[in-house]
Amino acid sequence: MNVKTPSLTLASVALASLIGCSTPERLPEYSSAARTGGPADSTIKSAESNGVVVSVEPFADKARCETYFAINAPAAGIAIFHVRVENHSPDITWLLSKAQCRLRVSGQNSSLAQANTSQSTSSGQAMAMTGAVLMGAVTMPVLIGLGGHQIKHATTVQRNFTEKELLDRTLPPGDATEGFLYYQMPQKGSPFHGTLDVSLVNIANQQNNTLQIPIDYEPQ
Amino acid sequence: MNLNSHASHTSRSRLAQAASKLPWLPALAAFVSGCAHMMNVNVKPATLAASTKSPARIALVLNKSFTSFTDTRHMMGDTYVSRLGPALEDYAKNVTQNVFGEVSVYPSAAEAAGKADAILTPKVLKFDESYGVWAGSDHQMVMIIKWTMMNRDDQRFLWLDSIEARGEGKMGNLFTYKKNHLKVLQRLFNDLGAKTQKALLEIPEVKPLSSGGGQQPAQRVMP
Repeated sequence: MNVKTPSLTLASVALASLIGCSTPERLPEYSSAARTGGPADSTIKSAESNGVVVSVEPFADKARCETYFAINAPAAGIAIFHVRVENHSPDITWLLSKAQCRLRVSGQNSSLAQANTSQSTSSGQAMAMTGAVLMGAVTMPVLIGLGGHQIKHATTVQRNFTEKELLDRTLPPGDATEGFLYYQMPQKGSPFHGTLDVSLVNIANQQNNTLQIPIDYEPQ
Repeated sequence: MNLNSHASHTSRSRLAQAASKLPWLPALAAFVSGCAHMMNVNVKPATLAASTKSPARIALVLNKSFTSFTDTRHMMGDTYVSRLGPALEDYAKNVTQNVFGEVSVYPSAAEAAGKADAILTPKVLKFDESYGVWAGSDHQMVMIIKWTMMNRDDQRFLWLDSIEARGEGKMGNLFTYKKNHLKVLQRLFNDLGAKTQKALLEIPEVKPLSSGGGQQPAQRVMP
């Protein structure tokens, strides 16, 4: 018993330091408009159609994921994309709905051009997975202090995901919006290629305008 | 025979022993499964800034998924239930009646079709909280409500927006946590009311509804 007690204390301290009990209340905001260049710029892909410009930036490196989301997302199987939508049209108002954004991942043996929708996930699935990844260990806390820190960390990360997500909205001429989309990766930590379809509705004639942006997701 | 008799006696005494422990089982089960806490969500509708009402007649659709929205959280074996539906209903009525001259409420878009100049529907997209287990821990809430405006026949999209509201406070101790929870929730609904009012007042598509015109909104500066 005397031997076990200090071991338990040491274990709790060591584990508490591993699970990130120093998670800040607010994680930093990210805006591609404020980006000043750098190596990440080469990963940004854009598409333009009918005056709408969509730029997609994969968050595939551990460092940035930990800075803005306090989690190594690629290792957890969550693919994060920053999306910016700009309406340069002089007279068309567009409706942007997150439900109209789909990630299509090509099969391993098929080229991108031939790829059907081999995998298409909604962001809701990835959000639920985030909760499962973070809260899994909390369901059976051995030490109450450890459980408390884990709860704080997990709920802060989860809330941050919600706050940064791309929101549905109306885009009048000259307006822009941005936010993040989250998808479940085909395989944890592995690269994948595909396309992100972003569909907007023209408010005047209710016609869809779908932009296809090629995706090269290479975890670093 | 003796052996069988002994075995039978032994199993009976084991049964009797087990039966004697039965009264403890509910207590043990209650301990393991934790308690359910009904949280007080009796928030007051936000006090909104005075504004010039739009003469547009609005059919407000408050469907069951909105009016009976419930949030359930599990923490350290306990369950915390917040029935937010009535507060959401009050919020939606309060803010639309503050912005539009005439608001009628319907339980579905089908029933609202043809009854007003436009159909306005709120939907809870997300509700999330971050919290700790200590009294001094920060407690933060975020709620995202999506508002959709359709034309009078529910056939065409006119406008949509997502309102993201926040509320913050402290967790509180065993005696104050419910009161503190209500305070954070009230701040969340105050923020929600103010932001929704602002968004609804800025809808350019509402002006043609009431004036009969079809003007395009003015060009905005790219943020």
